[in-house]
Amino acid sequence: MSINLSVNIGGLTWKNPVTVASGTFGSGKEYAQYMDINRLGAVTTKGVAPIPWAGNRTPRVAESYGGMLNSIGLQNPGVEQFIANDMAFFRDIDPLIIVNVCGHKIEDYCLVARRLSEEEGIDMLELNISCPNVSEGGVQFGTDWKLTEKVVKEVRKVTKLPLIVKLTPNVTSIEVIAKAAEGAGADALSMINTLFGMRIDINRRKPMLGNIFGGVSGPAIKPVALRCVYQAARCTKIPIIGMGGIMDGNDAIEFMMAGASAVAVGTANFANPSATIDVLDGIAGFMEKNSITDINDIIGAAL
Amino acid sequence: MSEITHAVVIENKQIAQDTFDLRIHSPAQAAKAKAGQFLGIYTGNPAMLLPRPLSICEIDKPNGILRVIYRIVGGGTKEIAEVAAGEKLRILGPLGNGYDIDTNYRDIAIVGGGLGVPPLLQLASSIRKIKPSANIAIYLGFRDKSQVILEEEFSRYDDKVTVCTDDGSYGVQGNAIAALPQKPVFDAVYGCGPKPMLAALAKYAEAAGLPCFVSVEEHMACCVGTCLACAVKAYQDGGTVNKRACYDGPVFNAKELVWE
Ligand SMILES: Cc1cc2nc3c(=O)[nH]c(=O)nc-3n(C[C@H](O)[C@H](O)[C@H](O)COP(=O)(O)OP(=O)(O)OC[C@H]3O[C@@H](n4cnc5c(N)ncnc54)[C@H](O)[C@@H]3O)c2cc1C
Ligand SMILES: Cc1cc2nc3c(=O)[nH]c(=O)nc-3n(C[C@H](O)[C@H](O)[C@H](O)COP(=O)(O)O)c2cc1C
Ligand code: FES
Repeated sequence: MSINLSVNIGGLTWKNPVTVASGTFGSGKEYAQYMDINRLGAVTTKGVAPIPWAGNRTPRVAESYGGMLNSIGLQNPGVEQFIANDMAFFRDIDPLIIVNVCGHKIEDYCLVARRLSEEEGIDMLELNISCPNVSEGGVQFGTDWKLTEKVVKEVRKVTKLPLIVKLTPNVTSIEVIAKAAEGAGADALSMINTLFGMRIDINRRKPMLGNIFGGVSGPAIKPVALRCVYQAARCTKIPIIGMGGIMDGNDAIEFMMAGASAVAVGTANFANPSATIDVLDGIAGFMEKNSITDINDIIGAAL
Repeated sequence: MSEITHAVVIENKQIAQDTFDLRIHSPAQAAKAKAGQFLGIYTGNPAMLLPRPLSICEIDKPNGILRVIYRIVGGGTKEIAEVAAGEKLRILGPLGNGYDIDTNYRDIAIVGGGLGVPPLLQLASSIRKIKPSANIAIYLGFRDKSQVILEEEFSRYDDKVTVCTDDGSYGVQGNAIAALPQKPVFDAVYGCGPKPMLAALAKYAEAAGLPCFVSVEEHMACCVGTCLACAVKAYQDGGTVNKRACYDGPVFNAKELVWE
């Protein structure tokens, strides 16, 4: 049976709907020795800021039942060093390249977006307005629809690259934020970023994370992520990249039926370095078993 | 190149209080492994997603066997301790850079503390193999007598292994650093253990102008260099940067690190 796995997001054709979640895959070089990176529809990078960010103090990760917490704090080498380190590798591989953009202020996002737009080999930008681990900026933009609108509008002005806006689940109404992003010119939405959480070491009587709080990811958050995708899909028309606890093909199908046009695999990479390929093969397997010839036929099937 | 495999457990037995000695058959990984590298060992429990970083204690290349010594400190190590011979463990590795052995060094001190001791066994063995004439002085520190491990095996590489315990219940009382000679007689020192011990070792080496290589520990998620969980502050180009314990390390030149 021949099946079509390609999907369209922000005017670009992805050869298949599988990418990686920002921050869980480095630039891809490291995992490329465990899996065939060229099979991915897209590669999404770690957040990139205008200047180097040192990130938070360690410990930066803790495990939890069926998931984990991280408080990396968007450590990154800054946009210039990012370009110097990674662009050659990106131009060399087949998947589309999505660069995750972060900042403390609107000007930061604009600066990075403008600079990245000058580089050949970047296909889409993902605006990270949802990181819970930085004290300034980040999630503040993603929890206030007016700020969401403002940052998306400003970045829209400085780049022609398709713009994905990454949303946080830590809001009262994800619909309001999703609509604000769409209205301001987002080409796609990605969701969800991590849930704000913490753990305590009962022997030391102290928080486990050096930063006290962190973001929860992994299969434990999947139902929340699905609900967010479903709600956003019902009230917007732009494509959604769904993520949050995807471990296998069936999880991915679930997200697509909830309205996602593509999926990102994050924490699962840590549990299994070839998780992305398993997800991709699992999607194809589900389609074959159920005689689905076009992946687009299942997008939003449960809506 | 590291890889992910299912390794068959040959032996997984208790050797001290809460401490286990694991041998796995994993020829491809054994062939590539060097002293100071580690494995990411997955538990069989699907609710525990992350690999547990555990150092390689011995590499038996001809037989394709890797040895790991670990202590039960939480859920993951408890699960690993329940795996019986003949069963399989999913492992990632060999990971990290490992120790570089410079054949110019003749007199070498190896200093370990607690569960930092196991990887030094392979280091001692590798040094002995690469430079049979080297003089290796070994200093091992433990909390108390119940925690002492590998003393006999280390004595294959040094006639006089110095064992210290914090409470004096075995060997010399105090930590391993205090047992080092006041006037160093070494060309280089190698260490692995808790951070305060490594900081003291770095200071000792610096005062004596000795090269010092230490293996550091940080909480990890991916173990392969992608997630940036395992940040270690290092000097670079007049400033500081975060290096990754799992990928740029775990072994660092002590001079390179910011000890705070
Ligand atoms: C490079 C490296 C080499 C190591 N080598 C050894 C060894 O040879 N023998 C040995 O007994 N121990 C070693 N450790 C420590 C060992 O990784 C932890 O004791 C183990 O991960 C605890 O897992 P757990 O599930 O039992 O504990 P839990 O506390 O339940 O673990 C929860 C999470 O925290 C992480 N974690 C907990 N303690 C540590 C720690 N000290 N360092 C890093 N991560 C931790 C776990 O990996 C897991 O993701 C090493 C650590 C590192 C970084
Ligand atoms: C270690 C780690 C680092 C992350 N870094 C980023 C980041 O830099 N930018 C971002 O937008 N999201 C980041 N995230 C969030 C993920 O991209 C993803 O939204 C979230 O983890 C949910 O997906 P998952 O459950 O599949 O991991 C990070 C997550 C983890 C676990
Ligand atoms: S543990 Fe992920 S980068 Fe080191």
